[in-house]
Amino acid sequence: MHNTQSVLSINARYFQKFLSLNNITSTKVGDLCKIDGFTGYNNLIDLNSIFSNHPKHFPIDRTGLTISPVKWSHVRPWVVPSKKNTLDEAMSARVKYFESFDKKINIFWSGGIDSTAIVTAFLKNATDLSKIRIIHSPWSFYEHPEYREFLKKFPQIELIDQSGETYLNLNLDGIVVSGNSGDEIHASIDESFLNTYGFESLLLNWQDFFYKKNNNDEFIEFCDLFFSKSGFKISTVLEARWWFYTSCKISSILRTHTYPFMLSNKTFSVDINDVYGFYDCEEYESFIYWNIHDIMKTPNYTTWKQLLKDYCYKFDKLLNWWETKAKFASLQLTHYEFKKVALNDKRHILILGDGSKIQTPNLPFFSKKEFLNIYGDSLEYLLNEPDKL
Amino acid sequence: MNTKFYKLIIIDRFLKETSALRQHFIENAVDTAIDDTLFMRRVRVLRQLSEFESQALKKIYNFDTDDIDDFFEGLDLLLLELKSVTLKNA
Repeated sequence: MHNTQSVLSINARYFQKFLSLNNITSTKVGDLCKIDGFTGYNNLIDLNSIFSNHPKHFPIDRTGLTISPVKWSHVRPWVVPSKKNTLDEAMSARVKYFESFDKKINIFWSGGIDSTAIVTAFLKNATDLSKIRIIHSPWSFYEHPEYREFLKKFPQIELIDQSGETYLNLNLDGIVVSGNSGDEIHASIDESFLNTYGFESLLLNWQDFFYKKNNNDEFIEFCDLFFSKSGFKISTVLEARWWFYTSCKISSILRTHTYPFMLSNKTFSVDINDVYGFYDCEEYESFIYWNIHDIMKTPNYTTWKQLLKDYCYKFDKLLNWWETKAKFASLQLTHYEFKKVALNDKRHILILGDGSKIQTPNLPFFSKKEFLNIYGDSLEYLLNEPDKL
Repeated sequence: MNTKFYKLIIIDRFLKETSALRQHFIENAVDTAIDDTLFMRRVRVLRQLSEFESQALKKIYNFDTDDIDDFFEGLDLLLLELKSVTLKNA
């Protein structure tokens, strides 16, 4: 039944056990694991560990250089951008792409920088605002208090407050657009990294920085080879960081959080192909690729993604948010996701490319016995052979 | 393998956690009863807690394994989920 599908999402809580059921041994690293026999993939985990003390969200190599332990679905291959978009062109092109479906466009708006820029893009460029629906919660307006009044200028736009119990069975027609992918395509710079190493570390030569954290020559050689896939000479930590997150992590949070959230309704099944990361696209890559050094220009953390904030401010003139907004790790949607999955009992070990779930009946209690009873070895096809490098 | 013993351990630990949370929310509902919104939220969480508890007990009872560790790993994950289910702002 499943053997034409590949993997859309993996529940990290069960992954190591799933591997052991298929006689694959692994070692935990943060929320991820290094897997015996997958040398290239393990190098990506090591690379992730350079940038993060607690790696999470599976790296999915868009370059094809490394072999992943599982066959992933919905992977957009890396292509070196040949076009140079301005930010306006990139945002406008992306809006036009979504409009071409001629469906309702559901935007999850958190009040943060990425999702506010998405809303701005639609407000600026959409030809029919009545096609737009903004899904928010009270916390969206806590993050961006001025936006409540601002959105009243656009009465054609439908607003849905998903708090209370609404999010538990959110039936949405049309397509879904998420800001997840925004952090990654902007190098996923977290404040703790800057507090530990300083803003200046972003401008250091990457080899020098990496050697201090991992002086394994083979690992550095791997990074050299991997970075060459970017199409330009990566010199600084910022460029290396941007490359890693764009080439390997751009869809990871979508897979870990957005897809499970959308697929966990009690009664309504979303078509997984209707769920998009706004920034996970060629159009935006054709802008940011040429503007990596504008991602964060000063040591002040509020200037991370300043280019998106400027984009919003130019349109809405909301000064306070523009001046003060910094990345705030809003866990609200994460809490909604975990709670919805648990209460609706829509837990999964894996989600396949068609949105179907691999699960055993008593999750979160997971046993080899129950798994083999249902699946036997029928899911072995989802795993790749090790690369033996 | 006779798993009844381990199931009872897990049920005991789980219900101790849910009981403590239930008591906390009841007291909090009393404290915030003047505020209609907060009161509604507390009662909603109490209702969801009961749903979750019922679901979890069924799963523990039905769970089939040959490995005792599975019970305790599952309990850890269940308690993580319990945190999400009983968050005041979710």
